[in-house]
Amino acid sequence: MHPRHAGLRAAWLGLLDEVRVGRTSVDAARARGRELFEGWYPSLAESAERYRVECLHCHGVEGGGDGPSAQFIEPRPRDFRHGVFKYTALTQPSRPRREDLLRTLTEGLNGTSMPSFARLSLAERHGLADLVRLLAIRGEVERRLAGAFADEGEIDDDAIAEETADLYERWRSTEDKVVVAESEMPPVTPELIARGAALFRDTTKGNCSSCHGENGAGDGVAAWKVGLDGRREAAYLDAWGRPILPRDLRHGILRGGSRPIDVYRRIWSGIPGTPMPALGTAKGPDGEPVLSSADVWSLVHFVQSLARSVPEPSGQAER
Amino acid sequence: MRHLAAALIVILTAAVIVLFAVSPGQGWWLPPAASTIARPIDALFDGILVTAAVGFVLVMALLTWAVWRGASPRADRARSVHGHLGLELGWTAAIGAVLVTVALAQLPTWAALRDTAAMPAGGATATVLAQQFAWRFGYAGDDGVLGTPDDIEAASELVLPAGEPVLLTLRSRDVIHSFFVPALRVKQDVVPGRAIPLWFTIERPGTYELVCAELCGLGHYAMAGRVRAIPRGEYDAWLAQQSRARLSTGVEDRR
Amino acid sequence: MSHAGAQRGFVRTWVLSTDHKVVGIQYLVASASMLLFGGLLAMAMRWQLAWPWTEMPILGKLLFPATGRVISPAFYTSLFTMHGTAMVFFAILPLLTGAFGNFLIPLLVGAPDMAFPRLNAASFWILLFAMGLFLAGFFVEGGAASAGWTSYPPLATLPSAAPGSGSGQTLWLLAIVVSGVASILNALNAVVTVVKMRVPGLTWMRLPLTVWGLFVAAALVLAALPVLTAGGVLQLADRWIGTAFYTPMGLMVNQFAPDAAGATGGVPLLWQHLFWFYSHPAVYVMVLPAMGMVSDILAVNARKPVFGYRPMVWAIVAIAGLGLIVWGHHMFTSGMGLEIGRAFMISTMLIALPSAVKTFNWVATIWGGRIRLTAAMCFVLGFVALFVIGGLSGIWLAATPVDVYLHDTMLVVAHFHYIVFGGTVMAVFGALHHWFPKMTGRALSENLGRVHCAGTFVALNCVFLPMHQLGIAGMIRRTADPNVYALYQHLEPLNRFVTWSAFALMAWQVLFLVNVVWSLRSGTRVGRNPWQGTTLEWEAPSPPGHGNFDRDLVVECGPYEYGDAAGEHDWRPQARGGRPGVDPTASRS
Repeated sequence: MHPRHAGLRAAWLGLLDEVRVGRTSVDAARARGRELFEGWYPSLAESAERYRVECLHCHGVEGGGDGPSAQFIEPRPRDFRHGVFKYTALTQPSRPRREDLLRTLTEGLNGTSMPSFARLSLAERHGLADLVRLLAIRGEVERRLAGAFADEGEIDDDAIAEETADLYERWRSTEDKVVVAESEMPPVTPELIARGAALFRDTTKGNCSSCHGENGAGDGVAAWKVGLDGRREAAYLDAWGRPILPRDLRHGILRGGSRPIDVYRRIWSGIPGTPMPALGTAKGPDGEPVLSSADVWSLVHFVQSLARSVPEPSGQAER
Repeated sequence: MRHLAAALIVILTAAVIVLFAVSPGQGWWLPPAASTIARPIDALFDGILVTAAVGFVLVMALLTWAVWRGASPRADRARSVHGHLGLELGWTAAIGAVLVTVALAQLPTWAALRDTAAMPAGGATATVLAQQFAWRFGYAGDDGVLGTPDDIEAASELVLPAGEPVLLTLRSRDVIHSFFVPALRVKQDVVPGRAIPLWFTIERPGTYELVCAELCGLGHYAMAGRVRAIPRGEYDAWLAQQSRARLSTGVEDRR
Repeated sequence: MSHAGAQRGFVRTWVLSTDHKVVGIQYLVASASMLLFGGLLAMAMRWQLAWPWTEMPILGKLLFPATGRVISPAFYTSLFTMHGTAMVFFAILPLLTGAFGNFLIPLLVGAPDMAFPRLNAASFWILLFAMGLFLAGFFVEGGAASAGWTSYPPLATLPSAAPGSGSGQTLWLLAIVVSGVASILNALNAVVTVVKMRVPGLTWMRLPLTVWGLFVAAALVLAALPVLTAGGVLQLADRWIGTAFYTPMGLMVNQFAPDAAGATGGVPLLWQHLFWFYSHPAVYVMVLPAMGMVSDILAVNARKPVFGYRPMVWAIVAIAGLGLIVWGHHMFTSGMGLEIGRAFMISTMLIALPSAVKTFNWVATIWGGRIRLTAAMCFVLGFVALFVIGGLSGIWLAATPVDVYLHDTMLVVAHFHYIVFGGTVMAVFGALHHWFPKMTGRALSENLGRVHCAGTFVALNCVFLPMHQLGIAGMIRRTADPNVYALYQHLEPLNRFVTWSAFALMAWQVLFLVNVVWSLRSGTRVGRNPWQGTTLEWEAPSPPGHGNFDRDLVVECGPYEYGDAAGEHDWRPQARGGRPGVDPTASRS
């Protein structure tokens, strides 16, 4: 625990004790608690300066993923202004929770240039998470208003207030959307991995191989198309307009986290902004769920077994 | 004019001595040592420093005197001395002896660092994966074997038991990085295509910064990590807790 | 080799000439320009280290409009890459071997020109072309090379790994390979000239140490540079024809998997061996000619022979020979095994010995000398003092366990800057003061020179001495922002002090520029031998015409006949019939 954080916690616990024994009134404790928090939590200006030093060179001044280093990085740094964040614990579509942003800041994203910022204090990371939300909300409001202006030729103050309120509400109402596995994770067995492999390749079930390929190499036929110049290129674009290919699962690089529940969530709720569908909530033609929770765990085991396979070199070519 | 030049040399000598003398107090010095190998390394460092300081002062004194005095005031010419075999042999032997001593003194420490016979077996072990621009670590899960599905993965912070030898295996995903923990005095380049072992013993619990010490791209300056050493009991508990966390259904994220 | 006819036009005299003196001056101007350029890059680096991510006054807006007026992380990596490369390959090496080597060798051995004058001129133009390729890197997509002057694969070889590893790195490689050709041709010329064109009586053991330094350095270049050139060609092959000499299997770099492109199975460490096999001897190529010139300038200005001529020659040869077998000390942390580490440690310790012997011989040369504190003498005295510091910090780095800690920290930066700046560059300034009269027929201002020397000496120490403390505290090299690590945050005052000192050091060099420009037009005119030197260059007019000498020379003694045994005067020229004491325009000390 960071020293400042520990100090804050100790101070608050001390306040609680004082209220309990009647030495301090509740109102006074509340005010004092707020004071302590504001001393702990960085101001917006401090967070903005921290953002400028640590984040801006990739994520850009407005969070547009267009900083000076962005052009040299693959995958590109996130453009916050769409309000789309790939790796959350939520069903989609949702804006991320504070905890999702904090997790990305604290652990980084494996396999990308987003590093861990665990060296920053928890307070600083909270401040940055809030700054990201600010940039995301502002960016999305601006995009929507720009769209409205393009359509109607004007923007009024009511429209601004409406859009902002709407977005703010979307960001607030995430708590009931957390994906929790309906069953416990079964231990890994060869049978479960084989079952997962079958579900992976079954076009009526997971249908994963259509994009991810028979062996998870990211070379499924649905992912590629032949371009105008006769060369193979990505069939899909992501939400930010860039060609996107399915993950080559054999490298064991899972950006959203490598815990089984992380992989479960990717399968269950998909990855927003990408063609990766939400298989957990997908319904078949009979209205029944395509995959059960146990099915998803089997897929999780299969995917994690792929990370340990020793494939022939045939990964994704340079874009 | 000559005296001014000699004075400058004296000032330089004094400045060097003063700077090195005040540096430890100012914190411009080796960070507090926290590993068992730090002791002999620091001793070697200090020994070479003292030897170099003595040599430095000696040569600067001779140089200063030579410049200050110049030729004997009574002579209108310098003495045409072309050399002196005794002096040449003398100072060659003296310097040679010093260098041989330094060379011999360091051999055991180098062996402790690189002799695979000194590699620990059976204790705590972890994998280190260096990538642009972050450190990732892997520990054996409940089965006690690295490289199996129940492995624990972590980013940025390497947790290790204090007070016993640990063995790391270093790999790189992309370019050459270098695993450098100044407080532990360990540094090992992480070379792609190789799995390089690194072993050391952290003497006491604490948190020690991990620095990437080989240029790895535009984010090299920010590739920071941490080594957190905790007592063995706590380490075992931490590992068990991480293993349990892997079984999570995600319910703790719901409030 | 006569070029009879007085007026040949500016282009034929100064641009297309094959006269070694003109070629030497061409090298001098080009390398000095690169030295200045490299210095400016260093100023930008120092700004960033003292005030990370802040806008430079005026220049911020001009230089970095696209990156928010501050140095971006990507650009910083190009800064230190191009600074190091410019200084080593395009400033210091050509200054010593190209400028002084070409100008001095024929004059010092009594020859009318180098052995291959046209090859000589060609080598300059080839180097100039290489400089152009090098500088072009700043203007291509992705920017200039950014993998350090050491250019380690896979960072340097995979375009996806670093911004400058695309076209920038290609241009860098071409520049290195092409400049390598120029260096090899120049070295060939130097070796053949010294072997074949000495005048009668000038035996090996009567050569001035300047010639020994330049000759042995040239031999080192011939022995080792082809290895680096080959290594560079291999990197180019990896880029152009799909080989993978340096790319191992199983990589994933910025979503690029080289395995997919087919050729892998290479070894990154191969480059390190090939690179350092030359680049370590290269530092001796940079310092041996300087050591030779220092010896000569000391003798002339102490009016005393060099102490221990033969040991000095053997020391030069020993440094070069040992220099070929120490390269592994740059790789102690690369995963090196126990025995190889021991071997390189021993050879590296050994190389300290001849360097120390030379230092004692210099002190003994000065001892009891009738010292003339010319500006040149100031600089070479500075060389001796600062070379001692640089050499001593090398002992830490030679001790392998200590090097494990110090490798890639600022202590290494301190060490080599003391040797190259405190050593070689000081010697170059001294040599310029010493031989400027021979080159131009005019003297540089002594007073301005001494002031320049004193200020440079002080500022230089203010810049590089604290870098020892930074390195000892564990501060790594090549970092754009030390504040990322809590371990380095308290070093900020030191970093700022170093930066201010660096600005002062840079600014002080204006004095030298002023001195040169002013002296070229209005300096005191001098005759052949303003310093009363014994060696052969002083027999020629100042400046020498084509063919250098106006009489046939025969050498009858060693190069350091100074002092009370020299005969009628306190010095005796090497050449028979040389006339000491009759130069009425000799400048006063």
